[in-house]
Amino acid sequence: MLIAAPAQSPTAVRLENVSKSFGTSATPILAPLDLTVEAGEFVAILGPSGCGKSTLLRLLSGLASPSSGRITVDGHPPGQGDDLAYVFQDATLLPWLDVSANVETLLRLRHVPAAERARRRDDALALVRLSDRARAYPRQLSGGQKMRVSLARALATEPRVLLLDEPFGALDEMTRDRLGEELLAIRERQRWTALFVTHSVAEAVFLASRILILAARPGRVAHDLRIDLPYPRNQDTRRDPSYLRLVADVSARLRAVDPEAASPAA
Amino acid sequence: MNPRVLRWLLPLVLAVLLLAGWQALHQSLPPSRRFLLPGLPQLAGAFQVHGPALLVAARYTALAALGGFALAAVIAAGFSLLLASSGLVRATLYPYLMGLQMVPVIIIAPILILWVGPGAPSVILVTFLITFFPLVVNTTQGLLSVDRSHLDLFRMGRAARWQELLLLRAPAALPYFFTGLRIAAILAPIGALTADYLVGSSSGGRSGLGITALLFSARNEIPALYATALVGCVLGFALVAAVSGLSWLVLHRWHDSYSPSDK
Repeated sequence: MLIAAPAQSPTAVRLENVSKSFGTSATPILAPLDLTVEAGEFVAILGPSGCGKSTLLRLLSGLASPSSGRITVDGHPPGQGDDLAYVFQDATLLPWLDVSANVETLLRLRHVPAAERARRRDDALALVRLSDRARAYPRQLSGGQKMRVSLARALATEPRVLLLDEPFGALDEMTRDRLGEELLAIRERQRWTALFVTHSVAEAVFLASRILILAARPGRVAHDLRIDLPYPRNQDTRRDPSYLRLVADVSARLRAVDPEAASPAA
Repeated sequence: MNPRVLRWLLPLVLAVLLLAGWQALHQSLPPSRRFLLPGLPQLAGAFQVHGPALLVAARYTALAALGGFALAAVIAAGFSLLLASSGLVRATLYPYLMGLQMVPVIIIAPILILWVGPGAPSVILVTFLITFFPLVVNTTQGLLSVDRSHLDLFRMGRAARWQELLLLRAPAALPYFFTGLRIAAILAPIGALTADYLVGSSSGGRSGLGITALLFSARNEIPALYATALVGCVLGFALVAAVSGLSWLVLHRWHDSYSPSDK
């Protein structure tokens, strides 16, 4: 079930001089921004609130349009290709559909034929290890399970670019760590480029091959860091001295960017 | 005590207390005024004498209520989808929808008779007019009260407008629709009864509870009037129970109002 992304364009996401303002406000949410993400990168985005992290994802997904500049996602303008999937902060499952139908929702919107839909649904549920809960309704699931269904719904579209907006933010730390490990394991089998917004430095360092630290007012890239820890990463990575050093280093940089951050981000 | 037993026992205890209170109130009245509140034996007597006639009338009223109710439910569902489709449509149609509810039924009843004829058609039409508004208001509210994040999901999935309406808004509105149905279920028998009173036809044995009440009233049969009112209540209860059952069937698997932790 290994799904190889066809080598199309090596650049997954490109922003050229992109800015975003709301209304007539003097300070833009995002200052003119240039950013290139290559296919296969796992980019974590950190930054104080108001730095435009979520706005950036909404621009990439086509839910919002930039005030200026040009965006391409896998060669298309945002919101035009079928190769992007979005995992929201909340699981956003439809409560009246069971797990199986929830995973199929986006495929149904795209008129994917039933047989193909079923295959992709089963594959995605297997990836998040919830095959045995296919008939359950969302309210019967734990927070972590709901988020895994939400992830499966995105993965079922077989995306080349996956946008994740603090997907594990509402979960307890153990669940969050385990889901992080699962996410990386899934990525070994289904290669996509990830842009992952988070508040957790540890999570960012553990997952990402590259970390962007944004500064606020206006939103801009303050640091663009490579994380050279080798993949596959697992529980042992969290005890690796170089991992711990990176967490400390990134935390310090984040605090420097965000003077209001009183407590060290965990 | 077992809470499940209590759920049945307490309403029963209350019923017994209410009946006892009723009888006590009846006996506390001076004998010359007791006809205003007939005692339980007189009520039972009225049921015995008029039972068969009441049953026939109740059946007629129940069918008319059901007809008007069903008609209103179907048309309200369609009309709500139309209202939810755009703010402009809402702004245009909403005042007239309210106007429909504000039309004084007593005044237009004679006109309705001229339109559709006396008897069942008029009764169904009046019931429809009375139940339509709460159905549309609730359902439209439901169609518009969709989670922001679910809308984002559908926009991300580049859903067509009809997909958003039928796959997202319509199921999300179901609980609201059932709230409207419940209100309509209470109003429908009252509407059908009132309509029968106003526009019913007593010819050919096709009369409902309204006409029956009219006759009892003319003959000053107070216990029979009470009995008629009671039968009307029972109709309302039966319809509400049916709607609740339907609501449970459709919603219990997913909606929070049927959450198992609540029991």
